[in-house]
Amino acid sequence: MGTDIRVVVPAETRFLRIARLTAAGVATDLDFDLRDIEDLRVAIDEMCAVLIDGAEPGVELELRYHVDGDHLEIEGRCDQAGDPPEIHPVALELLSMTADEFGVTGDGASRSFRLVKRRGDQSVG
Amino acid sequence: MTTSDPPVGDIDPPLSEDPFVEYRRTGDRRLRNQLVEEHRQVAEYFIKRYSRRGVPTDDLRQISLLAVISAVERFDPTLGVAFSTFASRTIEGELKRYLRDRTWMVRPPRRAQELHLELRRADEELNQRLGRSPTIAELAAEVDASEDHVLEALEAGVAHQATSLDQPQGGAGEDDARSVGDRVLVGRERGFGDVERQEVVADLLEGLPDREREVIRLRFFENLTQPEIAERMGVSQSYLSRIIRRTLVDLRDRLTESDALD
Repeated sequence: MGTDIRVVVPAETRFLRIARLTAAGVATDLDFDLRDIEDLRVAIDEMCAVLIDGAEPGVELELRYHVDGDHLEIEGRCDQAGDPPEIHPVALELLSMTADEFGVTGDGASRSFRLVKRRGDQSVG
Repeated sequence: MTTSDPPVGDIDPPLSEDPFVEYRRTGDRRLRNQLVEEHRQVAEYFIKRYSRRGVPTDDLRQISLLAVISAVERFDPTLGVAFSTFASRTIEGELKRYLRDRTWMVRPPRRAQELHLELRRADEELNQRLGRSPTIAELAAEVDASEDHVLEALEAGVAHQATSLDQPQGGAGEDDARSVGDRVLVGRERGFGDVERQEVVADLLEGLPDREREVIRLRFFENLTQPEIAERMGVSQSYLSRIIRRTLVDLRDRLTESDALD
């Protein structure tokens, strides 16, 4: 169930805007409120930045936005060797403030992240 | 040392490059995090000050951290202002905006629409000034918003053209036709009782000149259309639309002042 949206961009900081805007667009479709969307924008930016840290030219960042019910799950993957760098305390703090779930893993050949954002409770009357 | 470019004039050697300048040049995330870490204590004063007014500390921490990051991203040391001064202004601005939005129960389309209106004005101005259509970067600088937000506001402008600030939603004449302005004025907020809300609105309206108050009353409480009001008051529609927009902005500013300032 749910909808999948895939986006592939070069693993460079300046293309993280595409990741952010796609996230915001998908979240808008889920009726996230502005606060949630701003949070999501921050969270995905930080996650992607960790993933592409030190990426060689030509490496790609692959993103999958999975919409299911009231939550959005985003998975990122970047094919570059080495474990992901330790997340800086500032980035960690931002992520824990803005994401419902997040994590980064590496398997020696590629790095991945997973990020979940749920729609905040809204009393629509 | 890089030797590819000969030095121009007698600039400082790159060894002593200001870290803020370096960050603007490289966009290096590690450097950003380091700068944020070094300077984030600027926010403590504001967190203390606003938490005394009952704003949740978690919210204050998040907003001020984001504001410090935004300040690091935009700070230009060549302008001669200390970073702490610049960051304080940014933090205070963000906190006020947060309080304003919380108070006005702004829903997602609202802020994007507001920016959209601003962008239309900025676009016209820049077109004249530059003699060509501005780039997104130029628009963003003009309205002091991020390029992401400009792109989104442009998108919102397309998607929500039918629900601009002062158009009733669902069409005039329907019983439940409510405009975005309605929601701004009489929106709902958790924990914000009806009585208090009405008092706040009443106070604000009380402070308006007679004509403006009447326009707002007809538009948002009687739900008349703009053409109907324009006819009743004997003014042109475009003039009326300017009155409404200006009055809403004015109301919002006064609310921000009374709420966020000492």
